[in-house]
Amino acid sequence: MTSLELKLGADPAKENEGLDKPKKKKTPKITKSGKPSVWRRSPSLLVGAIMVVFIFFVAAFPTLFAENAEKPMTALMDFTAMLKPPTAEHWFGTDNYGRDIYTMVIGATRLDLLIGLGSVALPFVVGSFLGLICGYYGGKLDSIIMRILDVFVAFPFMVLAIAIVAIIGNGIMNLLIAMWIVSWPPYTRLVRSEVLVAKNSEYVQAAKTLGYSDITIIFRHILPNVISSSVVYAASDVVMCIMTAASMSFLGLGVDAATLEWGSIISSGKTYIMGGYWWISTMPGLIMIFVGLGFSLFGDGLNDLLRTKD
Amino acid sequence: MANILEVQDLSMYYITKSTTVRAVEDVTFSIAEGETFGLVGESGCGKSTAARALVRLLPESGKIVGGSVLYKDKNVVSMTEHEVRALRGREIGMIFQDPMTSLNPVTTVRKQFFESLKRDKNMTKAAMEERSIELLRLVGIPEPAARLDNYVHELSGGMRQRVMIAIALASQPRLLLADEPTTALDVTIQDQVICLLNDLREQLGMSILLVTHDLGVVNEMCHHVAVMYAGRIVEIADTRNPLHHPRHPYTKGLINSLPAEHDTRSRLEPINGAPPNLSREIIGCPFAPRCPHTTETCRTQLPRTVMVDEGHFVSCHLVTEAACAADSAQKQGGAQ
Amino acid sequence: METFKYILRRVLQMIPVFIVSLIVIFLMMRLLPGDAALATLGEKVDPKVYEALKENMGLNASLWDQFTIYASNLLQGDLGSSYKYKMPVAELIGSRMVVTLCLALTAAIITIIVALPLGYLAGVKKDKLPDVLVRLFALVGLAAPSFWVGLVLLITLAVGTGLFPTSGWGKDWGEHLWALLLPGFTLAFASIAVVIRNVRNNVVDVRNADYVDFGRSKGLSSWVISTGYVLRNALIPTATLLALRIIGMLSGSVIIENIFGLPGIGALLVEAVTGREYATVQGCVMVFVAITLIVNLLTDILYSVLDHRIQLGGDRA
Repeated sequence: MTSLELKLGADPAKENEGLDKPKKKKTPKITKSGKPSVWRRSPSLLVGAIMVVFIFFVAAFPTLFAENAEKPMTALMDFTAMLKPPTAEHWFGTDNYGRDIYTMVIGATRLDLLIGLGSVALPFVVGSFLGLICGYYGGKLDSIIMRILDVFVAFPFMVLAIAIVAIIGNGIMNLLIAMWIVSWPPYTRLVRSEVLVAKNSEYVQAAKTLGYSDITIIFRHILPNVISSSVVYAASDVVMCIMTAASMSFLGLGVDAATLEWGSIISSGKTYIMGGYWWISTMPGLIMIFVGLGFSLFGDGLNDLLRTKD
Repeated sequence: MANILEVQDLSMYYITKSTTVRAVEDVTFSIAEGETFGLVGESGCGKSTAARALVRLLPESGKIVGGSVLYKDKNVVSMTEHEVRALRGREIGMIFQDPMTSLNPVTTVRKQFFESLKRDKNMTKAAMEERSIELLRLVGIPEPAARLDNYVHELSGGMRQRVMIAIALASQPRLLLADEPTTALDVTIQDQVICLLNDLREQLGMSILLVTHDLGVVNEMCHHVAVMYAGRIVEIADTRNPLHHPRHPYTKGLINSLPAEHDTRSRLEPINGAPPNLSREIIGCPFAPRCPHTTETCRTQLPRTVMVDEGHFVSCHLVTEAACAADSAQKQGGAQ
Repeated sequence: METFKYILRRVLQMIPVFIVSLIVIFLMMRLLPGDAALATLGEKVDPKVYEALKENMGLNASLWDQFTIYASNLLQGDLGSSYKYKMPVAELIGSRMVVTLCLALTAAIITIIVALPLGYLAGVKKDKLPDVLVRLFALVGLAAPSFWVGLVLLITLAVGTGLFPTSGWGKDWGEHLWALLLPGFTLAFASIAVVIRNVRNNVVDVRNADYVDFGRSKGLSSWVISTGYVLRNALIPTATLLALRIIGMLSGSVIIENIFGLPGIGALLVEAVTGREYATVQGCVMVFVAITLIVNLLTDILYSVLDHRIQLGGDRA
């Protein structure tokens, strides 16, 4: 093997010249735990969180963003400034009563956020709980709940929500009830499928061998390991619920017409579109996109974070 | 024997915005026609990357930053993508570690043969069919005709590895890059695959580059072996030398951490510590932090590669010093 | 044979779900506040006419009797009749179905045309500019409410410009197609975002798969690798997702048909709910449930046809 000569290359000593001296080195920022910080690993979580916090801030202190936001709607009417397009004075323009649309949109933030979070909270808790029980115990209870779930998911959610509101009537509370009824199945399915896997894992087997009670095993050992996909889903579900609720109001089947809500504002502008008054229906959509982006990014970030942990 | 492949100072980095991982650094070796060349080392030492770099089968972040790969005197590094593709499969075939994931799950075995065979424009369907069956028979698969209609998931692990080898051989490559071909298999099947590769090499007269972390497999199959550590080759030689007369402390460590064949009572000695992080610049000998014989020189200077015996090269300061000492002693002796 | 048995079992499982859904719909309608007869006739009405209509509508019978009548009529294909349109509900739904199905089909085609190339591009150019732009577009798509997108399209492309009709769906197929473009795109908007993300992530995963490397090591052309290896494998989960999006589109059609004045079953449902047309609401919801169940079944079958590793009836996890 004559060709097995190794070329020595450049003199290694020369290459390493000056390396003995202390040298400032760029190293990635690392937190005390030795891992890159959460924000660094998932920038979308950071951006999403900032946007979500901002929305909460708007909902909590609307008057900081629009001074008349908390006044009753009738007080906003100004018949000298009806149907004005967006200007420096009226950022989003005014509606047919001369009300400033920007003020109305800011004023509605609290309610829409409440509907979004409220719609998700109960299904998240109840749906996940049912998933835990079904997955862990299986058997008859599991099949009964899953058959009920089958019936619920046989309806397109919008159709079911409309039917429910049609029965129990309009209004915020009734809208929430409709949202609760249509949004629990995904949580049950997600958690159930993860519990089925976790149930056979070694840590659960070990806990069983150690004689822990079912309740302890379910809530202390299984729950923390299976809930992450549910949490990630919940973040995107908030957006979906806000949109569904607004869609319902848009169809006149959500909150009653006198309640200020993004969907109902957009709906109220419908009749003026043909007349060229485009801003009433379009401008409120911008804040909805902002809210949607915030929660979506937040959810994506959570997903990155929870799925990549090792 | 002529060389089919000559690798000179090959360096390959994974370059992303935030990091540069020096996966392969100044690697030089060559493979003769008809021989099996082993590339061993711990996982993450760059051996698989080095093998992939030979046919430029790299992810986007993988960049060859220096050196050359001469296949039959043509430089693979400077070839166009089109030329490299012509080389792949026909001249240099490759098989992978995990037969479970290395075959396309959505098409039949037949189609995966035909994809390769179709490159020969003169081949008829019937001829391709015949050739596929012949290849499956060659790798020892029972009822080869029936297997052609199978999907990958319908075959067992050992069977898949054989099918993968048969497909890789479809265009009669002269060099087969085998990336950990036995790692994912059961021990009994490992032996079968080793025997199969040995037989195929003899029958077809091809060369094999065997990438593995298993010194036992190297012992059984290889004519030459290179030991890699932290992206560099630290020792290279005839198989008998590094395995029976290792000179580099890392090679020694690898061998000592194996159970000896007839001596079950002596304790295994693991190599302490872990390989260095290749995304940081390494100063001095990369093995220095784990080496039992580290000196000040080891920490500050990269060792040169020296020949310690006919065709036996080592990169280690201790070996260099010993060689220099012997050298100067000889010179002094000559002067007197 | 196995496949046939599985499909048969699934169909048999679907039947009780369908029947329970029908009962649920029936009960819901009877629980509706308000009076169907009154709603049909208006407030000022001769009590005799009102009583006659109530009798005629079968509203005086007990709940159980009403249900048995409803069920036996249903078995004969009789869904009742609409008082507003003065025609059998089955016929009404039949004529409206075409619009909704065409709308869903248009939306599905638009989704495929837009989302597949963009998702593939983003996956191939992972973390590069095209990927960032496409992902941003998908995020906005997820965040924008579809009824709002519909209004914006209506305002920019239909009102004033007259390029597209603002309402209705025309008289012949050419006009139908033209009328379906904007609502189809609106309905597709959310799906496009979801499908783009799915395709992109699948492509990223599959491109890292060992079999793609093995394919490349065989010297296959990049065309064969992209189509036969990357796309073929990446699109299996996407196909399932697309099928499931059809159910989402049914939900969306309820709103979109309203905005664009399309005479589909979604719009019919909303009309019927506000007009208290029991029979029509029941009929519409029944059709929606039937389509949902069928799509779910087809999705499962499609999945196993595309991916031979999936055994029908086996555990996907």
